[in-house]
Amino acid sequence: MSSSSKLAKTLARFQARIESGDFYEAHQTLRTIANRYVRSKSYNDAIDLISQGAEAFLKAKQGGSATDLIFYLLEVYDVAGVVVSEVAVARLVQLLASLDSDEPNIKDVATGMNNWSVKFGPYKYGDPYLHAVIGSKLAEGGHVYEAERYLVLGTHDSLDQYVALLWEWFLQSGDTKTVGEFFSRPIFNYLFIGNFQNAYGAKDKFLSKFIEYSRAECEKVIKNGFEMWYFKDYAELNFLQLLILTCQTQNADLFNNLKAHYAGSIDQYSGQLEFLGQEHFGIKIQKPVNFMQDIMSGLLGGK
Amino acid sequence: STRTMSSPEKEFITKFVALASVQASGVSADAKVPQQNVTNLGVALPPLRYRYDHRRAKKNATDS
Repeated sequence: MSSSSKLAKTLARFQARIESGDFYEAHQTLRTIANRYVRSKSYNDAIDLISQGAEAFLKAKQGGSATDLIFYLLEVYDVAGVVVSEVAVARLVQLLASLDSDEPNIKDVATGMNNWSVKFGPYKYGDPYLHAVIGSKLAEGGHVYEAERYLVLGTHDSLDQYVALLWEWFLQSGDTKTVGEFFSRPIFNYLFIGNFQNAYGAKDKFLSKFIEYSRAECEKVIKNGFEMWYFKDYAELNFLQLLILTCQTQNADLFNNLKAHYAGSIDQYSGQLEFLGQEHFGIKIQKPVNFMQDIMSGLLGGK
Repeated sequence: STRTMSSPEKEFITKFVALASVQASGVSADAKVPQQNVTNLGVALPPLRYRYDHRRAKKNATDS
């Protein structure tokens, strides 16, 4: 019997057990056969069997068994040295899409998938397409901080999802005055990684929602191709828009001037601004002076 | 509402934008570091003081 017909037979047997509600037996059988494939280094068969098995468990609403098989699939990816490819990612995306966003293991599943893409792909923080899907699923499940991390490094579509998430969160806060805290997040996150396109995109998308929703007093300022909204009562929003433009200039004097003008109302952003100062303007972070260390170093002939 | 406003902050913004926008050609507005070259994510942003209720979000999405 050929390998593919054996696999089809195993899957049919497995499917019958699932349909009769014999989940434990189905799970054990599938794992035993998959183990055999792994031991004989028939990795492709093992991958097909495990991923189709996981999918069947997801359809049967057996999240625990499904996530166990997803972790096993990732183990096989690792042992087999499966590199990041459209097919390998698509297989994981398909499973993620079917996974219930309230599944208790969802964060671990996301981490496991991303860790594989970090190890076997060209991106230090993982595959952008995988990030987009993970971010979306985690947001759906209410894991907002984790979702944010993934969406920032996602695809073009992730920007809309990130803004939608922040907007919903802002609405839930029930206080219009908190808008700066929400708006600051995509602006800083995108400036940190040098993504001006998305910083501007987030600015336009988020602020147009805010203007429509709040009817805040505002006025458009346009100069040399740069556009921003001046808000009479929201200095933080003004500052953050100017910050994007300033980072574009890479001019440290302008950066210091901007910070000086808004001093007092941007103290909460000191860490973020310190990082941007270093990254975009070459301003070195001042380390606190340790007098005792300096004296000892001087006595011992060090610097 | 949008209207013409004047305030010390508005004056600062007008002058600042005039100055900065002519220097902004160093990096274009649609520039982005390719993700393969991203090696630092910056500093972790502090958590917000507001809880996010994903069930409420789902309900709002369904209602709208």
